[in-house]
Amino acid sequence: MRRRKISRHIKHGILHVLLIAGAILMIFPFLWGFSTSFKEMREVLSNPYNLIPKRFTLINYQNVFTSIPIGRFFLNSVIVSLSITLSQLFTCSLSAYAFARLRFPFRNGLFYILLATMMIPQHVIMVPVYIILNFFRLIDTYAAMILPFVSSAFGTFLLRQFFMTVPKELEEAAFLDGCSHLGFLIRILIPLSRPILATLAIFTFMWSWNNYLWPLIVTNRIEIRTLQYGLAMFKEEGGINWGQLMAGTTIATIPILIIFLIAQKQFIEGITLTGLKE
Amino acid sequence: MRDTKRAILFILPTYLVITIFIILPIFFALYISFNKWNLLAPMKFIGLSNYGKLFRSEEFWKALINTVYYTFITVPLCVIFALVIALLLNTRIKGIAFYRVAYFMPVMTSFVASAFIWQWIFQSQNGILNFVFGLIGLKPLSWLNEPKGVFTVLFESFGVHIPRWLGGPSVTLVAIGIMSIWKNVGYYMIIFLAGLQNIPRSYYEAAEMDGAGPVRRFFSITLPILSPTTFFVLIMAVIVSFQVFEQVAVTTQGGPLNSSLVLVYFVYQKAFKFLEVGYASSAAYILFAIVLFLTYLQVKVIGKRVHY
Repeated sequence: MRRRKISRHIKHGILHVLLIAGAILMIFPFLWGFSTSFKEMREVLSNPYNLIPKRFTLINYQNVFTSIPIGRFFLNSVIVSLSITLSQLFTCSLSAYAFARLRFPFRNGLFYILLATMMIPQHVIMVPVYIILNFFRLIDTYAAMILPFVSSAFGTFLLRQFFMTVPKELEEAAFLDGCSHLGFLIRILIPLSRPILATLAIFTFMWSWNNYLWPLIVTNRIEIRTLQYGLAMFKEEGGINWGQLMAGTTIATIPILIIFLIAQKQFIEGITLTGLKE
Repeated sequence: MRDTKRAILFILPTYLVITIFIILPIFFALYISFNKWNLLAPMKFIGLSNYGKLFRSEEFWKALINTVYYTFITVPLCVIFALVIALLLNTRIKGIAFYRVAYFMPVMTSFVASAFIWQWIFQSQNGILNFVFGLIGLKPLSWLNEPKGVFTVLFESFGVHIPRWLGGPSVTLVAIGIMSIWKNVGYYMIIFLAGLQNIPRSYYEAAEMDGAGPVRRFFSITLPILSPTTFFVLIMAVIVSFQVFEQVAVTTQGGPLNSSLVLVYFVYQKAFKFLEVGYASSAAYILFAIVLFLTYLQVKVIGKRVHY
């Protein structure tokens, strides 16, 4: 018995060594970038491999704020990501409710069409979507970054699957008490679905916060650039100053990192759900 | 039937968005691809000419081949690493939460941020990768600015010259691939982990009682039951890698000498830099056909339940 216990300890020891080695490979780039953001330009060039800066400085952060309107970029990212996330929660709840709870002609057909659209990659339709937005004179506006994403097939699908699991009796009881469909959705179904709504919200927010392709295509003006696009342009226009670039990268990454650490469970759940859709 | 009106109202916002920004565009793209159009002058119908031009274009073939190369670099390694990490994590080991966060961090970092960090790592001078190369006695590479094939470079270091067509993907494309593996492995790991946790413990206990060792248990239980998940991940990874864009757009813009030009970047360049909208759309449709075929495979085989 004791020998078995020892061999298990050894086995777990080896596992930990392997896993930690892998984890270091994954995290190291972040650490190195992060530490570079606190180094003076001279040290970045003369001593790039030190993980701990010899002289700790905030000059790179100061420079980022003075050389580009990063506060504005940050605000734009918040505006765009929040608008997309909130409107998806609203529109997807409604359509998911219809597909899960209401009877209407062509319901299944319409639902399958919705599912089929999930197979169309964004990259394939970027040209016609640009043309459509241009037709409505929306290029270079917040609307161009937000409108194409105010609802989604994925969100509808995710919420519908959850709404289906809520027992029918609950609905009947609510209607007996004189509740309307909208009242039932808002007062009963949505509070019940808080975890899945959180998953959808976090996923949508992360996706739009990190989105680079879309702002790149539909905006030109510097005032409405989002963080990701703004940073990418900063590198192209301003030449490479690694300390400043890493400071900008840190600013762009921290919000998502915090959200992720708070809501890890929803993240993992969301991936599991997207990954194992039947 | 009372429900119909309400249902229409409820699905209207979603259907408006889907129709205007997905369904309409996918047909519109097909139509544009039969036209010569620069967004300013009127469209001119030219039938299949854009597709003909595409197949005669050396640049398009280069983009297609690079995309396939990129798929071969990233997908197998990414899927194998993801599976191995998931297997290691599925051993009721302590600290699983920490490891999960560590492996997942790159997934939620934006492409722009991760591309910056990796450009810093890949730098030819002062880059840490070349520093490590120096330590183990290898020649430094200009990772993101080397159009030569990896095999060419490898054999050259032994003084052997090989023909160009044997050179393989460019060093630059491989570097972008390494970055992508780092970024995506955590995502597939989570999916594998979910698949692994669905396997009942009792299967393993029964096998252990029958005297099956860990290797045997892996090949007789884990792998067969996990096969639908593996297949799903595999196809998804291929679909994702065919759409690679951001990594290239932020780091190399397809260069040097088109050695990291990929399909989506080709489409982007033709449409938004040269305003050859029709031509770009025809390339986009080729990509769509490839993705559609892969999705069809996925649905069909998953539908058949691989492990029975």
